[in-house]
Amino acid sequence: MQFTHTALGRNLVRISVPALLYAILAILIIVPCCMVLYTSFVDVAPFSASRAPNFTLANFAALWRPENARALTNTLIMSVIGTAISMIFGCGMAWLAARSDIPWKPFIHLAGIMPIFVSQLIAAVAWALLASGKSAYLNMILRQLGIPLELEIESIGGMAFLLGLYFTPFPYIFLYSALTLVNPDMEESAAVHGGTTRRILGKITFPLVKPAIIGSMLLIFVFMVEDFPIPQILGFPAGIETLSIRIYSLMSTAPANPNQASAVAVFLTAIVCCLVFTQRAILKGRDYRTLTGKGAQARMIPLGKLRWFAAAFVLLYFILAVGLPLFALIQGAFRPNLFIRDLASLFDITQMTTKNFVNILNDRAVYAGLLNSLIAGGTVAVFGVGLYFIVCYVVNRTDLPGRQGLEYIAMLPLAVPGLVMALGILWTWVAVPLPIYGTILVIIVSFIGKFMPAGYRVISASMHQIHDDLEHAALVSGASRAQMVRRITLPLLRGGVVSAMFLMIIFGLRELTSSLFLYTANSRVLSIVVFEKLDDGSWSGAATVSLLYTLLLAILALVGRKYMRAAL
Amino acid sequence: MNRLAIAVSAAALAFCALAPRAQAQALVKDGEEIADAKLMAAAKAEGRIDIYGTYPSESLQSVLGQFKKDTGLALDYVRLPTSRMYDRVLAEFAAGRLEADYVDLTDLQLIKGWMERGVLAEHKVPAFDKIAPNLRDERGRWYYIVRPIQVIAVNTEILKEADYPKAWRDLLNPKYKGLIGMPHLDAGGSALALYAFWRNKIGPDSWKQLAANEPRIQATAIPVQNDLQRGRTSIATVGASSMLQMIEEQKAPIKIIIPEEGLVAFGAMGNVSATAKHPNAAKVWVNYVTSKYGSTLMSKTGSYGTHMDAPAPQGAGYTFPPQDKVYTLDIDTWSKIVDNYPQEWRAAFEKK
Repeated sequence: MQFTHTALGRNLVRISVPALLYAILAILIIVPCCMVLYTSFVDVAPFSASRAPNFTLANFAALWRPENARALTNTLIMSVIGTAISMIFGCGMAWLAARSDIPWKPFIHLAGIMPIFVSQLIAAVAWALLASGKSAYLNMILRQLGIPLELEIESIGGMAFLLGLYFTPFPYIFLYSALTLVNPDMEESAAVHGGTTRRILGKITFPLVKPAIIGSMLLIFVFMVEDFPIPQILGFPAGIETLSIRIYSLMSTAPANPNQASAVAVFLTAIVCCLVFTQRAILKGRDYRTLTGKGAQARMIPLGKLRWFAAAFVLLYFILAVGLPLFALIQGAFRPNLFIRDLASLFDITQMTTKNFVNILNDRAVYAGLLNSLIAGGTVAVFGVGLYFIVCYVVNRTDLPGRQGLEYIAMLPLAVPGLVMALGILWTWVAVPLPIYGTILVIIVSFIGKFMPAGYRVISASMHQIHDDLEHAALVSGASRAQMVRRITLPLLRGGVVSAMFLMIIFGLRELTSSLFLYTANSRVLSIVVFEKLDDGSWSGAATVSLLYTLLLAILALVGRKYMRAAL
Repeated sequence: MNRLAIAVSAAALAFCALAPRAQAQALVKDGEEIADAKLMAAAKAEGRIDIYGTYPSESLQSVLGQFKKDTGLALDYVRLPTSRMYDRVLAEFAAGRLEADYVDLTDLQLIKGWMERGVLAEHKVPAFDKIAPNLRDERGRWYYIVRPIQVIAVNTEILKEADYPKAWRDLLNPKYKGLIGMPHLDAGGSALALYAFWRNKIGPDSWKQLAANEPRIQATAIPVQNDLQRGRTSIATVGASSMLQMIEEQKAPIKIIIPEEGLVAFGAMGNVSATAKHPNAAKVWVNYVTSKYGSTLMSKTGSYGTHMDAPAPQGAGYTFPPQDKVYTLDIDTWSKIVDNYPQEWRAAFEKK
């Protein structure tokens, strides 16, 4: 009898944990996504018409128009090139930072993650000022130097280049975490048996971190397909349409067409599900866990004469992704207007002014927005990452029923374009009978759902590297599961968890699309303040807020770096 | 002693009874009654108003500030682009959670959608008869509260004075090929009004001729302004109020051209919401911005007000023409063109 009770209790726990997680993910992700799915099959948007909706497939039929095919081709070309650029920079820098004797390591690490701080909207405007048309800063410099070359960032190549630059931190963070967790014994053995550095990298190191490589590649590819600020600011004026611009057009015409936009979103979701499925198939049946109970000291590969060349490679990346846009931001923040006559004017201090800073520092909305953003980002970092960790743990480390489905749900928000997902979130939360609509809480809850794919991926990539024999040893030695997670799993995953928390704070500070549908006067976040400055035509105001915000994030990065390095 | 206590109590009661009445004076400005004493008392009891507006808050700052000063009411302004505003307000309204007391849009077709769903309350403002019929609903469900204007602007550092265009028609001249910046038709009510003006006032073929000059088309009005300011384009069709701000505050090298054929105006139109938590305060706001006094304040932001006796906008040494020279789309024309224009516009302007 006693035995039956215990078995029943155990079964209850086995069912209740996934059930609770499914319930949480349902409200955060499934309901908004179902709203989008439903909208794609009817002829009116939820809450928008007085008549009953009719079932239709016309929204999907509209996908096959020639302009959509052209937009899809542009999107694929841009995203494939952009992904390749990101992977080259991200994987290269992660390996250099984690496993080589490259000089200036703290700087290398900073360069790897810093570009993620820069809002893409601001970066795209900054690059338009730097490299589009005769009046662009870099073109002025080239002309002055007598170089017969005019840069034009408003092109598919230019957009792919920028996407590549600004998504590099994702593979960097994934790979860095994974590489620090690879057991160096195998590399040592290969070296002892005469393996060259190149062969060891190709045959041992990179194959061992394949989950992180494929995971980050998938993530950034989908991010690039859906990316909106860069195509809108750089592609639109050049007449280059992408899928995200098509969605934007559907959502910004009057009245907006969320039904067709939802159909595009469902189409994209199907593609992403196929990609996730393929990823699982590639990684299936192989064991990537090398960090076991045996002690390990990461092996640093000597680069010899290439040390300084490698450092220059990272410096070049840093200048392109951070240095030059920062220069454009400084120009914007310290100038009364955007017009610069010639190269001499560009560096003429007498033409500069601190008026914009005085205005911003006296603007109460900036402080209120900053505070709200920090509250939102900080809360997501604690509670969101806590949730992502639990989901990740259940999926990867338990045999609880239904755990595989949790991973698919966690990745769903990735597949739904931001503008459409934001509507799904609005429709959900306006209908949920909880007194949180109109407060900062609804923004926090929407962030937790929306950022789940990135948070889940970062933690999951690290978890794949840690063999569960350490955890089993703890359990065999009498530790409870909670004690084991606290004493073994979490400390080993500290790099991944801190990286995820850090990402959440940054995303919280940057996120605009869902905030735009949910903010009120009392829950205005910093991204809304920047949006309002841009929308008022005040590039100086937006540049000044962005400059201050970048400084704040740089400070956060320096603090965060200490903990992320502790993962070594 | 008892008598004294009774007398003091009576005096205190009388003071309490009279005090609110003493505070609730009618709002009168330059001899014009904007809100009577009863409405002001009710508005003051509510104390505040929440606005969901489409007009950029920076441009409206001076009017919002003066309103707070004149009425003593607190005010919060949430700014959203028209398409987001439409969806958000409908969703909040349908769920019984509309947070705003006053809502507006820049698209007359969408205003119709709100009216059909009962989002907008009926409220006739005191200046109702002083507002042109095409700028208000006859039942008082919406009013234009501000009418920004579209003008031609040039970058004076890039374009020689002799080359400045003088009329809209001049922009069709091939010598301006590649020099002009314009917004996309989907940029909002301002763009729709502008392209309707081209078609109806300049000529039915004007879109094709304009497209032949390969204008630089941006998604919204803001990058069009920025392109002009930094010299990426030399000429642009832009909002006058932003240009005045750039000239006066940012000292940008820009000159506004008031074209010979007249000006194009669009607008933000709205009203008190049917479920307003502070309906009286919202009524005071609508009365205020549609009054001659409020419309005069609007004209100082570089846009036309609603009241027919309000002056034309002024600023940076420019005087704009009187209201009757301004082209404004009425709701019937808007309804007729809104379905066909997008396809025709794409056929004319989009790169093949």
